[in-house]
Amino acid sequence: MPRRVAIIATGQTKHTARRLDVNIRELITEAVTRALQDADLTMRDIDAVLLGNMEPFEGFLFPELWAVEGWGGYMKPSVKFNTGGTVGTTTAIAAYYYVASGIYDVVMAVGFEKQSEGHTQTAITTVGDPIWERSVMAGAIGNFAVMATTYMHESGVTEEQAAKAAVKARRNACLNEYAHLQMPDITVEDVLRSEVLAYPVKRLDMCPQSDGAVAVIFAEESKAQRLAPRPAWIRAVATAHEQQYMGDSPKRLAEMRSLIAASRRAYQAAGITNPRKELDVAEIYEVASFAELAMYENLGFCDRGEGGKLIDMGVTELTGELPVNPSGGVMSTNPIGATALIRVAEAALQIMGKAGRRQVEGARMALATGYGGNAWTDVMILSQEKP
Amino acid sequence: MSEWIVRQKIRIPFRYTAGRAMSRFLMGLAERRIWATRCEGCGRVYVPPLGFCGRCWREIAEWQELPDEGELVSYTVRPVGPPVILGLIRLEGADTHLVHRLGEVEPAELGRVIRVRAVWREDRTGSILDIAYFAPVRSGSLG
Repeated sequence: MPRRVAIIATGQTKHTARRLDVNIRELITEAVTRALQDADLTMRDIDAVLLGNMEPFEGFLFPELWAVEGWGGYMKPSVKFNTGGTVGTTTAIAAYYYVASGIYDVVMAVGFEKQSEGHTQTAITTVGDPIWERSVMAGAIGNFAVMATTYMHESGVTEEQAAKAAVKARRNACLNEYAHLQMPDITVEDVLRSEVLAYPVKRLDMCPQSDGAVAVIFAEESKAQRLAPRPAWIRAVATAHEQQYMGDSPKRLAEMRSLIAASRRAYQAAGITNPRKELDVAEIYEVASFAELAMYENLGFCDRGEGGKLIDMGVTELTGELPVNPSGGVMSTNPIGATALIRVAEAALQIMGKAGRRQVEGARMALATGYGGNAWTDVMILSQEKP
Repeated sequence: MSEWIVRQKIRIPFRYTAGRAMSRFLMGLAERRIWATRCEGCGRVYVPPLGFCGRCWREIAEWQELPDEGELVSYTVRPVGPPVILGLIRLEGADTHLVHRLGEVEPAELGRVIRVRAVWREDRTGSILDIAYFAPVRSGSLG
């Protein structure tokens, strides 16, 4: 039987486009120091440290080696994870496994990306199939846009509805002191009129590129209870991978197979039958406005083709029935190797009642997701109640 | 013929923030000065400097200037073409080593070289290459 595990502390940097005042090591140290302070621990209290990063983006390979003094791994048991969009959730789920196994009591998951130092969209080209894909489709946007077109066609979602998700993200971000894009006055018109990157995706539909780091501390039951007034218990974790084959990619927003598989597995493990009713808050890896609406459908927050209606009805607003991304989400903040771990940290803050102005009143059950490429998903469910 | 090979080249530009400690080190090189940091926890003198000691998990605030002279600890020689000699140099007072090129020395002499000194470029830009190479300190040339 796995042991009970809870998140007891988090630390984040102020995410922004360019942190020219610090190098990679110094950036990570900021987040790690804040997480340790949050739990009133020192590095000596941490049994193992897990590091997450997409190293091709900075060309800073083996950050576990070059930045060890920054993330606290010196002579500690540690592993680095490099799994694309899911880096952060992979690192979090691994930290959960480390503690649940009974081998380690207190484990820290750390994620970072300093996108200003490299050229992410060029580096993403290396993700494509070298023989027949790289020559025609570079970066994340074009690839994503063809899926968005099909999704609009199949679900009836409009560009206006997608723009509403983009507006919600940037307005929520104003309540989050760590968020990158904070735009209090942004309107649907602003999104629709922003530069078209690849039809139907416009600049304000997309996530930014951020410099940032995050650290999250996981502990076994007795230490969690001693160290945190209200720990965020891990209720369920699930991951699912599918075949990466662009030949059937058009429908990958309309039907996100790995998201469906992973979320249903996690719901079942957490005893959730109606996610819209039983979840109090969700921090999802939405990367772009169209993806957020598609994720509502694929996570079972609404029926097929109802993603647009959900945003129209305000269900996912901070004051709605199921607030989605009160932090501002990925559309506001995207230091890739940290992004999914920020979802976990934000979900934990909600359960711990430490989310400040973005706090969802009475949040007892929270969902966090990570999404990578267009083919794999991680899900973590946190609760105030012990599993 | 079944071995169809697809050749590619992808160019990715990078630009790295040197960070607090390394920025001071690089600016020092432009002035022919070598700055190190000393961890008050373990006492190690780091050059190039670290601003944070991973062993002690603490900030390093203490700076000290080191001479541009030290001990040659190890070396290797490129075996083809004109000799390129790489050395591992421990500057006087440092606990860590600098990798750099060696000059004004023949490979055959290397086993006898103990002390080396930085030979600085005239056109310094704040780069580790502001030191052109390290050269042996020969008896009589000291001072």
